[in-house]
Amino acid sequence: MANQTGEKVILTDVPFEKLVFYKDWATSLGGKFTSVQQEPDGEFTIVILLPGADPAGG
Amino acid sequence: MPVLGGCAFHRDKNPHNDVLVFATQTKFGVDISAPATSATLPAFSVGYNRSEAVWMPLKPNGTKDHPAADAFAEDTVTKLNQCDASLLSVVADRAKRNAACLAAVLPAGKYVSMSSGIKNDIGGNALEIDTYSVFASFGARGGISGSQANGGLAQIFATGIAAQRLASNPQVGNALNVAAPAAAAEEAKAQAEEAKARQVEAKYSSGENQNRIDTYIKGAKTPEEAKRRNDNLILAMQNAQLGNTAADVIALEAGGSEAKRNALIQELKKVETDATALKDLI
Repeated sequence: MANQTGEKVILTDVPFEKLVFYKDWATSLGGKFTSVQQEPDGEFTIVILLPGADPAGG
Repeated sequence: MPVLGGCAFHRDKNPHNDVLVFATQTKFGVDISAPATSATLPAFSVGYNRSEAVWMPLKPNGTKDHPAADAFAEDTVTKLNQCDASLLSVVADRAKRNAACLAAVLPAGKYVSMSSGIKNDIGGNALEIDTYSVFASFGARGGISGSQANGGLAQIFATGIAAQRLASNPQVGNALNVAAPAAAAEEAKAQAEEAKARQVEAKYSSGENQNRIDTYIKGAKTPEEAKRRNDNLILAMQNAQLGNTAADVIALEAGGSEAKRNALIQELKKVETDATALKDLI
């Protein structure tokens, strides 16, 4: 494991209909869908925390 | 202490005969001595000495012209509760009822007020006499860099409504705690590790190639299949030299250009061996 500290992904301008998709994807990657903030225009900013990544793919 | 005692308990001259006296003294020292056989290590000493005291008059009662403190409190509480009950159906706002009853019941010159707890399990709902609401905090922290000598001291003092409010907030206890040096060092280390965590940001942009990737991801029917497809995505990202990690994949899916997404799909077709999964990429 080259990186044990984890990674944070911040996505902005995410439409409502994609929230469930990213939540399920984050879970399948072993991560957490930790924050959802609605933007003034109605879209969302989301934060996904992922566990320590392994660039080798294993 | 003799001075405080004289003020606090001279019942005839001083009407504040119901007094809370609170005093502490704290001494704190750290001494690091070098071994007798070593002439290179220095010896450190840290000293700390602190004293504080509170003299707080509670009720200005007790002379022959005023009822005894306990009788006064009991009688006033009864009257306040009766007043509150009588106004309950007329004035819905409890604060307004309290203000009206205080003005009606409490005699002038009494350093008391009426209060109930925050809720039934914190202070209770019954109205009670509250004398002074006081909060004080004393804290100190010391240390010597290089010697690993550290120390922390904390002390709080609260009465009345302030104590109720303080007790109702679980974070206050944590904030006033002085963490043990070892725990503080571990916390600092954890924060440093978190600060080193890689952060990827992307602005969402939709597209046809994004839909293909989404279909591929959503096509997994089991957790095992989802893991296999996620691993393939990361491997394809590496082969296309678009990134190395799951965070890179998410960022590309959400906010990458359609051209880069297409490059990912082309590499994914090379590493994907399952026919059903390949159909999801079309």
